[in-house]
Amino acid sequence: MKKKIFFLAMLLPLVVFLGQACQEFIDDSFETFQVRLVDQQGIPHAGLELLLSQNNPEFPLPNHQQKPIIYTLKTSDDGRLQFVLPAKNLDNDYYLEVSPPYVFEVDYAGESIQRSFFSIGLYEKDIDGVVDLGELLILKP
Amino acid sequence: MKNLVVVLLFFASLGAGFAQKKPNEQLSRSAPFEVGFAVEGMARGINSGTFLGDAYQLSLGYRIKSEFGVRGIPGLGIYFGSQRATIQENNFLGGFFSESQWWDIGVYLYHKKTLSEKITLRGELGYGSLQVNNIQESSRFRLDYGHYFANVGGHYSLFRSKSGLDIDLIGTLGVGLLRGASIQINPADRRYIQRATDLQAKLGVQWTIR
Repeated sequence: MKKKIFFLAMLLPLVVFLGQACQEFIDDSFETFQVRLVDQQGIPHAGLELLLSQNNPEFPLPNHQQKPIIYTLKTSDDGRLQFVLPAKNLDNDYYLEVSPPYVFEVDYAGESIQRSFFSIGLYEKDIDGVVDLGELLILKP
Repeated sequence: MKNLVVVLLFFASLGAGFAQKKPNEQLSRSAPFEVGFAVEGMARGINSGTFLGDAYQLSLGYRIKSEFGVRGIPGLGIYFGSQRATIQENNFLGGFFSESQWWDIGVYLYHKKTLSEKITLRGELGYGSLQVNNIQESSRFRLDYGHYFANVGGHYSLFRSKSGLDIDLIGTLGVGLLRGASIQINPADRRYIQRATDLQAKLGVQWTIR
């Protein structure tokens, strides 16, 4: 009997820990993403519209499985974009999409490639939950 | 939660203080105990220009409360309540959630003043915890707020028995401050997310045993 109680007492913290870790959203926590969109000369793109979603444009799902667009965003006069989301433990990949004729120029496995989206996957945030994505290059080929 | 414990201890110490001031014999003769239980419907409005006020459309909710008092001194009550809300378009929740369920729990100090045989006025001062649960199928995102409030209202006696059971219609109006100090958010949006003021109107029935 004592062994069973000991075993359950040891198991409980593990169950609690796994329960927290498997929870999709982090309670009482928002993440703020900041980015500045510039062209090759470093001039900011003002008033540029982008879509934020969780649908990977590289591997599109059938329409009925696609998630709704999260936000339609517009850059400020100095090319800045900021958006806030509930913080997540799981399923926290986001995609910023730009409409033609614009494309992102991103570094991919050491090579510069041009594509219509920017993937926000692994990121670091500060104590206030702010994720600074720095400057992103947007071109009009 | 820490605040809740502090308030409970404060009220407990108040009770102990009052008990010490009066001799036991005098207390039992002149200060009869009463225990109350109430069920109330609740409407709540939150000021616009705040996250809670702008992002949610609240439905009518309910509140269950239990209180204990001694005539002549403030009594102590505890409450539990729930309210549903629909989520309006906003720039913070990402459109992830289909609905929101709000849970209230807390304590308050109340005082009653009899105006006539039928009508009694009451005032309440308290602190509670408000949980705003945003729900998406099996997932949820919880936001925690502390709630400091003051209510005024009255009882209208519906039934009074000689054996000591009273049934009253009870109505209160209240104002409260909501503070979400534990919510992590960028500094520019902190005030918008963490602060709000609410107005509450409640109407219900209270059973009191004297």
